[in-house]
Amino acid sequence: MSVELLQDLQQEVRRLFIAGSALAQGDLRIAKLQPQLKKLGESAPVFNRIAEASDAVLNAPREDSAVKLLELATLLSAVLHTQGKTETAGELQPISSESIELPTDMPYRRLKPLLELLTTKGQGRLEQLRQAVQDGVHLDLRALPIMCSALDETFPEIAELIAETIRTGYGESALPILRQQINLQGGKGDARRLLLIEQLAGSEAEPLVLEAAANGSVDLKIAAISTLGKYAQHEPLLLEMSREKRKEVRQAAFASLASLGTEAAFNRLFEALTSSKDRELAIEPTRSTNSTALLERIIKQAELSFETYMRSDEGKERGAAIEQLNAELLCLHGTGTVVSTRHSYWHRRINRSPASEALSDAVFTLIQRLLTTRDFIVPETEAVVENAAELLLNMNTEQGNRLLLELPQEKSILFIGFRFRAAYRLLPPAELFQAFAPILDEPASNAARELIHVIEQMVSEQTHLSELDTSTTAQAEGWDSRWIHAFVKADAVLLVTLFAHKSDRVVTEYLLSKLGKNASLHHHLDQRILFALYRIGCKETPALVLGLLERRYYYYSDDNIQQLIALMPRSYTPRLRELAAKPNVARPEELIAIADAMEAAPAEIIEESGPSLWRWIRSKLS
Amino acid sequence: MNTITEAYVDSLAPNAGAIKNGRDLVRKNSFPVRCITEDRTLLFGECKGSGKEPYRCSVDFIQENSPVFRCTCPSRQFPCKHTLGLLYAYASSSSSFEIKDIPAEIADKRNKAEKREEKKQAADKEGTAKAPRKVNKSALVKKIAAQLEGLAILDKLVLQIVHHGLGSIDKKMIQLIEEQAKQLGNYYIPGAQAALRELLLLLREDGDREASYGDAIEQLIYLQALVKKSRAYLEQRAEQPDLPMETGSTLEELLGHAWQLTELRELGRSKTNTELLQLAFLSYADHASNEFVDHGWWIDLEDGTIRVTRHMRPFRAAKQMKEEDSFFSIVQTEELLIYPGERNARVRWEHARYRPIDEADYHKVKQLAEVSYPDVIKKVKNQIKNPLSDKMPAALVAYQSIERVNDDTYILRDAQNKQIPLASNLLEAPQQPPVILGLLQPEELRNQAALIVFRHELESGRLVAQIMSIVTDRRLIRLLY
Repeated sequence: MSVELLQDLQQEVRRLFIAGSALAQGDLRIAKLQPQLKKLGESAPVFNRIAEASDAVLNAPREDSAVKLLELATLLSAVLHTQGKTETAGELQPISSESIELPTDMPYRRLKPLLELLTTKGQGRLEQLRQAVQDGVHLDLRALPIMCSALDETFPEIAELIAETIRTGYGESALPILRQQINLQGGKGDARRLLLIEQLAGSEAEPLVLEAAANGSVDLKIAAISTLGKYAQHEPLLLEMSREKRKEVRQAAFASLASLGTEAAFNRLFEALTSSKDRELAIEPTRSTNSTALLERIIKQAELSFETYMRSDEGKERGAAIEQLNAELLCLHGTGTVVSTRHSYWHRRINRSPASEALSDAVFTLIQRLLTTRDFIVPETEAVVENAAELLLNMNTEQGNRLLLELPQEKSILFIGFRFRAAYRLLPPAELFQAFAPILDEPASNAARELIHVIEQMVSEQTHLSELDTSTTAQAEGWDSRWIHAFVKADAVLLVTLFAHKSDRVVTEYLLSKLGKNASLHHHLDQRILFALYRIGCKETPALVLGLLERRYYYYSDDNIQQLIALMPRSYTPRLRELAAKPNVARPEELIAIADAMEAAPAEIIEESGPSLWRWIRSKLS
Repeated sequence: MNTITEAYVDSLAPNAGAIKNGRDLVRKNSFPVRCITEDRTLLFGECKGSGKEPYRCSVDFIQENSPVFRCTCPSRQFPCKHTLGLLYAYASSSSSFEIKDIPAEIADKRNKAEKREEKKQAADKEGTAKAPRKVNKSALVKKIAAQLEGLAILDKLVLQIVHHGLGSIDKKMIQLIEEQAKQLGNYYIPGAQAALRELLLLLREDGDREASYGDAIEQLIYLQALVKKSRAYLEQRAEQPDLPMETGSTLEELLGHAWQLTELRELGRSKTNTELLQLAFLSYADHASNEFVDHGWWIDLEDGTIRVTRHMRPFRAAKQMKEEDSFFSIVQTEELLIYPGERNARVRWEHARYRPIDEADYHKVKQLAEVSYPDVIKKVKNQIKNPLSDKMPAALVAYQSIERVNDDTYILRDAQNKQIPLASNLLEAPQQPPVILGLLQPEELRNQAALIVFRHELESGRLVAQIMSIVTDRRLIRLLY
């Protein structure tokens, strides 16, 4: 009770501090407390002192008011500091503890940066995180809850790394925290939590997963569904989810139904495939089933779609049939297949489907029907036709290749490519050349352009060419030696560089002419031209490279440029050093390093020349 | 030579950036040449640099506990990232170091260093008979006069603020106070200046002004008490300049005096043969005095006193100064220098040896814990009732259990069922203590010891504490750093 009185007085003192001691004189509310203070002072002297001090405040003239108020406040504060309560009334409850076996041995200077990067945004965090995890900094009890919270991170790569670290670094120890943190109505972070809980707790997580699938937010539903393809008892739920309003949920359900593999699951997939709403969504899941039974049904369905198309008049029905047929054909490819689109530079990615290959005869029969029905091959059906041809090409059967070779080239430019690829497999190089080279006689024609494009694609697939490595070439065997002159005539410069293997006057002249006024060591095509010129032994090449080096100001040196320099004969090194001494060359030390390495190369390596010399030089430079 | 572990190398590094750079160098295989002398007192090698020539670096353990770092790189930091990298390389694969003779240039340097040391010791011997530094009386009196002037300015300002009231402090007033705070820099009272800046930080609170009034009032009370006591003390010293400096209280340090180790020695404030175990560590930025503070709480294994290390790094010079860090060995020092202080006096040492901690040490620490909460609370209240005292005293207390009351309050309970309520907002911990408590083993929540820091909560009238560390029979659980 007496403490309460002091606390009341404290409140008034606070009020006066805020309002200003100038107003303290005669303050009514303090005056009201005086009698009680004096009464308590009878038994405890400290209350007397406080009463005196508050009296002083009440009676002080304005100019002394601040001093007096401070004195009262000081006294009051001192007393109250001795009256702090430490007991709390109520029932005592034990704290539940999860017994996580992690130490707290990370020193401040290693732990703090990890916690910082997990709780702030900024550049370079992914690499720092990788490093910290590699060093084991996260293996500290204080980091565990923060790592789990950081699953809500917006940068997907960081969030994925965190999820992976939780799974492998903490394992089951993280479960209590993940369960505490998860919000079934949350977003991607909580979806990750659900996946982790499922991965770590296995079947114990089932109630939570089912709850999330039924009642969670979209992200949670998708995550939950993706884990449900394992047990037959989940079939009814998955079937239900495959009819949900949201597209992403249905998609996830289809994928899990595909893993489930029950009859009802496949029936549902088939149903989805033949509906206009879910046709697209059902393709990849269908592919992943690898079920010949399902594919047989689809092939039969494709025949029906084809017949529907042929029967219908112009209009919606025809359009629908074509889309349906296309979807059915797409199902026959392997998972992850992307059929090339003509308008982008993506490489085709046509993957094998073991189930289709098991049914190769049925597939062939279907495609044969499609491709040999003249009225079927029209602009409207271009996608389907290409699709079908890709399928056949990929299956690489004798009868398939023959069929492709027979394709009516005049009906579609696309067919050139397929015919060529099939022919490449079936015919010897000389016949291949004789059959197709004439197309290049009209270099400006669509046909020629298509052929060039296809050959470029083929070489790239054969050699795993990447933009970055401009020194690789097409394999010499397998291609008739006359191709290169045909390419020269058709002005297909990229192909010329790829096919240039040996010394040839025509090729040399052509390539030199293609190094225009604006040639630059930065342009990949110009790099390829120079590599080709070196390869075929053109003696002017080193001078050309030097000329380009002198002409422009190079900000960086990539591997290819360094290699072009390193291919120069040793006698050029003084001129390289001269160049390095010039004022406007960036990174002269790199040029000097290359010159040094070139001179230091031992005789045996130089004799071998080519790739081994470059490897030797490159190892000296790094 | 001491066993070189990663943790040891970490502790040598001046800051976290050097740790990272040193490790990166090892990872990138930048040390083609690595050697060690047969007597194992010297590590040396070459490190690939960005230039043509590699850098030659070495770590000399001729004096086991004070390694000498040498490197041909242009960096001014010691140890530089190359020497650190060499040490990390040794810590992870000592077998990759070739045994070789000491290179001539390093042998030369050792010789020179030895000669220098001999010269110094000879000079010291002669110099021990020197009398303590003479105090220049007239300079001192002048200084005290300036200090008193500064205090007068501060006094006037404090009264002015109280007179007008905290509610009426506007931008103009704040600017005025800032000006005054700057001015105080000319009067040799940096501690008082920092205290005024503290007040400014509270008054500038853009958010909830209401919440900070309580703290502002306490700060005004503090400033007034500081002015009063300092005035009395300085006036006395002005009359008798020969009086030794005050050590019975922290007044000198509060005014801003930075005690020199020699001063502490002269005043006999040292203890021999001390073993210290670090129980908790925290590093934070003090915006009132514009410096980083590395704060360690240690227990004296002999008598259980909780001692504090405080290493200040002014913002401007922070890059050149070595950061301190959590420490995981026992410090043994022949000379522990003790600053004037209260329950948790600040300490420093110049030379020390280290030994690893074992379970017997944890047992010892637990035995040193205070068992009766009423006793501890009484002592704490006795300290904090003084307006100039350290308002957050630390203590090591034993607990029978850590529990919850009414769902939201955590408490410590002693063997007599007396309680201490727990808070989470007194110090900035990596994680809220209750979260960590919920992850421990059940037995760690019973019959152990906890290092706690107290604070009187103005609004609720409670004396609360925050757990900084828990000491069990087998380990130390750090809830701070």
